[in-house]
Amino acid sequence: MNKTFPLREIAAVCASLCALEAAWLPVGANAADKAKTKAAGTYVTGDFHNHSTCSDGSLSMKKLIDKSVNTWGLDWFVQADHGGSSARNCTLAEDPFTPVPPALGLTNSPTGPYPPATYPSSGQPSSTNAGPNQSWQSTLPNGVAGIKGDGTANPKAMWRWQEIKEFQYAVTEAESRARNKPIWMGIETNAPGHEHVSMTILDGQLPWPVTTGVGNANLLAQFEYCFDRSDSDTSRGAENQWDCSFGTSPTGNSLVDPTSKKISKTGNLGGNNSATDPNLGHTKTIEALKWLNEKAPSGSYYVPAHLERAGVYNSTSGAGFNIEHLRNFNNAAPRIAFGFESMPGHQASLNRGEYGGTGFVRSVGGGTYGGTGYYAAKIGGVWDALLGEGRNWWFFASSDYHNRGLFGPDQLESTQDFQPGEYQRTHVMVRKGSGNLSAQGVIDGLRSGNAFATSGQLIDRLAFVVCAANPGIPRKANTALLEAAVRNAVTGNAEVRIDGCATMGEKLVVRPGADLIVAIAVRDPEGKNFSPYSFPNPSLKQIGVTQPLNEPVLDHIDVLGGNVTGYVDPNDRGNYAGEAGKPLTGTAGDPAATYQADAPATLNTSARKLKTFNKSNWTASSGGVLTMSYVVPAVKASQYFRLRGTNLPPATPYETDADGNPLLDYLVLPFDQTKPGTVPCTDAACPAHLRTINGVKYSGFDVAAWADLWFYANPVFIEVLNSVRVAGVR
Amino acid sequence: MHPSFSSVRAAAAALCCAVGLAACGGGSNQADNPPPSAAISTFSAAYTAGVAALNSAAGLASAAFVDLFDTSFLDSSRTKTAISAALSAEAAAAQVSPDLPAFPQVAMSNVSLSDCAYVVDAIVCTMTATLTNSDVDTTAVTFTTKVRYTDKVRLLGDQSASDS
Repeated sequence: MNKTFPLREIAAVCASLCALEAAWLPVGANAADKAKTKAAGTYVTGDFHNHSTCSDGSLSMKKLIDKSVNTWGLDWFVQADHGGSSARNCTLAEDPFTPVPPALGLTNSPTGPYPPATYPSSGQPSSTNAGPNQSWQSTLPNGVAGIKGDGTANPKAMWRWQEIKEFQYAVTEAESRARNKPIWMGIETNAPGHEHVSMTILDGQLPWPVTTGVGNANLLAQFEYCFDRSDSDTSRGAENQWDCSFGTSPTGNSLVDPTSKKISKTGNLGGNNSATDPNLGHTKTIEALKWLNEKAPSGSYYVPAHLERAGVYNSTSGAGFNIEHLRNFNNAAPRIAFGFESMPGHQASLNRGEYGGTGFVRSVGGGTYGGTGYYAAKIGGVWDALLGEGRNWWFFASSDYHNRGLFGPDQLESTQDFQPGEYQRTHVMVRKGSGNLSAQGVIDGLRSGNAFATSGQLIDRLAFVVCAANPGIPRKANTALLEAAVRNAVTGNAEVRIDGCATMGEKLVVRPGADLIVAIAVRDPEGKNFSPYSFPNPSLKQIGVTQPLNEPVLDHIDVLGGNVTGYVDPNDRGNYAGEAGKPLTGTAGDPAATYQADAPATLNTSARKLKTFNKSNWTASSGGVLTMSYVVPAVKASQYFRLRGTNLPPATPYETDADGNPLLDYLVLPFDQTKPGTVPCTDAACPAHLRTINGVKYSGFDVAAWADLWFYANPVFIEVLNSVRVAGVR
Repeated sequence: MHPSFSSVRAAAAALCCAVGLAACGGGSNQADNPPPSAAISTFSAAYTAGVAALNSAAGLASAAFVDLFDTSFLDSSRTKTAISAALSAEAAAAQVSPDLPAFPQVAMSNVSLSDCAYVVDAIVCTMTATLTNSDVDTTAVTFTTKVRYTDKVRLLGDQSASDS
């Protein structure tokens, strides 16, 4: 506890928050860029949040990258370990690198017997003290002397800033250039005052298509030192002698500790929220965003990860994110804090997404809903509230791979995580023109919002536009033309480039009373996805549908939307700040659990389901392409349209309600395996690792994830002339 | 396959006379022939040019373009009155916003008429044309709609009161 200037510091924090919230300004906005100014682009798939043994993952960097861009075929990848420190050397590869994958049905064990009955724990073939599980101290040429900064543990942990700057960056640069794909460094930073955030700073890094010169991740390393709450190093980065104060933030600079030169306190070196320093962490996080704005305005992003997991925000201990924090982030750095990972990783875990589990029993909303967090899964909830302001706030997915639980990394089953690209994918439009795919292009694409996220390869292509109707031509001709345009775009994995149409992340300006045409095409890929299971989907089997688990079929697409009413003034606390999905009583899986009513600030009451498309009203064509459209007559108010889709029909027990909304994934306490589950898995091929009660297996873990697939598409905004301005979107 | 014009002509004439419509005209020229080629050409050129001009306030406000829509026009619930109002509104909006009109501009081509039949007091034909996006995406579709010939050819639309 710092007893020297407590009142002054508290005042400084308050002043910082007030200054932050009073200084907000929406980013300038025009209509979507003209078609002729848009370079040709392609939707590419990637993942920006996964772990190696340099934090709490189980793979070397090289193997994780290989799994991502080789085994599962991603087009781009960001290596993002936690901030803080770790003792293991993730730059050392497994040996052998690619062992023969074992058959299905083998679990791992610390004691054997090893194949054919079990497999070594900690992943085959590396185990404790081998490959990337060896310590830095034991593998560096000069041992512990090569590990910089504070720390006395044995083996000594290396601060993430040093790992990134001196060791990890070189691996990503080499892997990227060898594989001809953008692969670069990021961090899952421990955000002060909150839980985790996926972020990067590309500045200085030189991944493919650059093939010459030596880049660096120095700025990223400095960020980690300065703004990760788990980085309690006070060395200023040893010889780097970093100073975290910066030009545009007198408030933040006033909080900088004279020794560590970062926002930290005695006993609170990470600058987190605490009883003596309430909201200090959030203030520090805002300072981090200002710093990024100043140092890397184009090369960085800052995307809260699994943001419902840690529960609602706590001003004295740090926890999750309330809507006001997301608004503060976006106000402070709209080009950097532009979305969230509300479709978290850990989808095969006992408590899907690791929501509602041990240590996180107070997750917002009690858990995931069809694998998506409460903030995005609830129609009219937090995401819709942000979109209802006309904010640029986008939806992303990540795999957050650490390990496969009971299984090794080269097996196909999982009781914990899926590997990047195996189950979840973020598809993002990257404009390349005649050039190559680049990391900056990916970041620009993420920033643009022209992206969608999928699980289980439910769809692998999407074209989604909203266009103003041409009053001078027959309506059916107009819709046929736009349907042809989206169908062509999907066939080419490209986007529609027509003036008068806006796609995801864009806005269309129309006159009051204009008719709109919503046109959508998706590709439901033919053949099998990456699921290792071919037995019937147990969730669908409940309703008499027999469909192999590895051959999912898109059941329907919902068009969702709501009105845009403008940015909320931060001083309007009732409409700016509040909690959503806060559990009051009960634990995860308790059907009688109760929740606090969602605060008005977290709601968009105009949001609703506008239209549903299924096989009765879409047109199927070759290659699994499905095309659909509808007319929205005489729009009067500024608004937005977004999409979700699933393989599960409405009213699938324990999965969807009668309106097709995803249900809470925790209808049975996940950690009490003595109680029956909800969805029986009756096929003889249902794997042995499922919950089994009285001889009956119940869907869970990876089987439950493969059974319950969704996609979410980012919104298209409509700004009606003389109505509310959609201020945050081009 | 569409029936030949001659068989339609005979059927239409028979229908008209059976219901005793004065306008049948005892086998007038209108009933016996499709619209004159000159009328078809005039309509085709005017509609193609009119659609192309909808990117300007003048084109949107063109009375000549509105006159290409028949008084009985009905297309996906839109009447001639509604079309006229929409065009006027677009023209007014274009005066105040450089981003308007917002709707995608298209090019019309290959206009042709077929399946003409005498209905009540005019000849109704199926118009076939090609519609092409005039942007980076040059997607094109062929579509059909109905036109009506009295003193000139005008758009009749799909005559559907539903907007779906």
